[in-house]
Amino acid sequence: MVVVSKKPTLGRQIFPAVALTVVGVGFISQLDNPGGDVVALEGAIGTLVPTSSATTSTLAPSPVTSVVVSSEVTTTLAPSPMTPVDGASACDGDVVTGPTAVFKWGDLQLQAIFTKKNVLCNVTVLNYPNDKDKSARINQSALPIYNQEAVEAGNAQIAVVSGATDSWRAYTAGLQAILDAHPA
Amino acid sequence: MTRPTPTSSVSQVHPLPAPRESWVLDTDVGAIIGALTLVVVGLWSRHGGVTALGDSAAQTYTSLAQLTGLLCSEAGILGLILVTRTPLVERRYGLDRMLNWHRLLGEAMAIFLTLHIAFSVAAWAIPDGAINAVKSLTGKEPYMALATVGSAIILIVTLSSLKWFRNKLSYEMWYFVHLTSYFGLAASFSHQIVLGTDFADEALARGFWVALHLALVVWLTWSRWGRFLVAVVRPLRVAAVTHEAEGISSVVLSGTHLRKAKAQGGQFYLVRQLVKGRWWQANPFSLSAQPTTAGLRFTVKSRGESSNAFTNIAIGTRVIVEGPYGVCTPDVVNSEKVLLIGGGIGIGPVTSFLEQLEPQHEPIILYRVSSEQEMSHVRELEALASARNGKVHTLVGHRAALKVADPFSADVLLKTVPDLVQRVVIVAGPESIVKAVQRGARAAGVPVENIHAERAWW
Repeated sequence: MVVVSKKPTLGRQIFPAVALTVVGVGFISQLDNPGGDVVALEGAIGTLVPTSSATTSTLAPSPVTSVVVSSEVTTTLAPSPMTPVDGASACDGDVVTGPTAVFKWGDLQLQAIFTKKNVLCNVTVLNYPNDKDKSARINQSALPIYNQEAVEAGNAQIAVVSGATDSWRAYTAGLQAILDAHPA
Repeated sequence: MTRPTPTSSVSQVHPLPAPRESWVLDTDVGAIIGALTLVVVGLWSRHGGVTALGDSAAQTYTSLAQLTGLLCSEAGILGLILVTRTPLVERRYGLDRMLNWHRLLGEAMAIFLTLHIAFSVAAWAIPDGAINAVKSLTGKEPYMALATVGSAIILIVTLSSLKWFRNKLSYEMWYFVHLTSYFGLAASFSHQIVLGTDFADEALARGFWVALHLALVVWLTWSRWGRFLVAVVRPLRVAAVTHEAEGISSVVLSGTHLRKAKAQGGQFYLVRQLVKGRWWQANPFSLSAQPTTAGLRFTVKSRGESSNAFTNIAIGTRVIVEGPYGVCTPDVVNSEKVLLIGGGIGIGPVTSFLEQLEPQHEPIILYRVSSEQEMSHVRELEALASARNGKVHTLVGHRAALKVADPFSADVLLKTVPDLVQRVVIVAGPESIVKAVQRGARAAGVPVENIHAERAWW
């Protein structure tokens, strides 16, 4: 190692470390922070009396062309006969409305329908972040997949769709809350 | 110390000026590594990496996969900074240390990469099963096929650099395998931007990451490959070849571009002979005389195909030199007295080092050589030493034939050089001699910072 002819001053030694740390901390503080909790669950879980017509609209896998989406997806559409994805048995059990999962991009709320035997039968998205085009686009393509995966798995252990990790976190957190409140 | 002042006349031969010292300090290097780590870990934590750790197994694995992936990238970035061979770092620490750190960072990168892959598969396997997870991660997801190829290349490169494999590969093979790591790194970049939650979702983080990598590409292109290209288009030519001893020759390289070069005794160059079949191989050869505008002299022992070819190189052959490298130069000496120890061919750099010393340094030279037939530069050394108030001691003979078991033990060193403790010790030669001298000199009471050696010396 080369002997430095003049011993560097303490200031010269410390300054780069301090400056770079300040810049680094400043940069990090400018980044999005999802908050203390990645997903905060709010609101109570409600279980509805099972009736044959107590169904809500599913956010079914739809072609990407459906750009215009009403933010009022929470409204119940006209009752339509609900067919479970796998057609194993009818969705004639409890209808559970989950808590609102508040996450980085907005709120996500799920409703799950069980069979009489308390098997997860159908999942519906009541509310999802769609105030931004990007949010709407991501969620409209990912959430139907999550719905389908959830019913196939029968639990909240579902695969993430790339680019929709945050929605996946909110979705699995919300679904897990429903499942916890409604033991099979 | 004072150096000969260059004369203004161009036609006159004058010594090359010393390369500029680097202003980089240990603390600067620490600050840069620390700040990069802070940003990388901060990015991960700010995006919820820490909170996700307590969540479900899938989220924990996902979060760990992100962290290890980011740390893998960081090790790669730092490793590439060393590849630039930037004088800012080289002039402070020397190329041999840089290459050593590069190797360590490569190994760290491979470890983080393995963990990153393991955590990613674990996270995806929870809902999907291991087989589906591997399928998704090797091709179904966008850019993952590229990332898979990239990871495979990086792991192969790291394996090929482990001593055990390295010894089994030819240099040529190893070098070309190593070159593919540029592609490996580039191939894995896209999945970070498209799939990596830390960058895909946030423009600021993505901008920073892309800018960092672009800057690195520009820096590498200029500092490593631009300089190399300059060296290629301005080759030196062999001006003289002198047979010095059995299997040992001195080769002088000259060229008009040396007028603008900077170098010092004790430094080395990476030398490529532009001869059929040898152009790809760069050998580190040390200067054996003070570099001047008239030429660079290297003393080379024939001990491999490449060095053998160099000792018999034809006059006029074009030679590409990259450098100079190395920090074991007369800069490490201020006004102290000096002890120079050369083992075998290590006498070359000792000679060029000695040539730049002054009478105040009262240099003592210990020349350790296994047989008289292999002694070179003896007259030159004696002339240089006596002009500088110094002396030369030679120790000839095979190890078994010596009177003492270890000629560089503290006792023997102190007997030969009574004022050893006041001297700066410079050692060049085979690893065994370097180690023996370091051990002996330290035992005799020479402070560690006054013992200098450089591994790359040939």
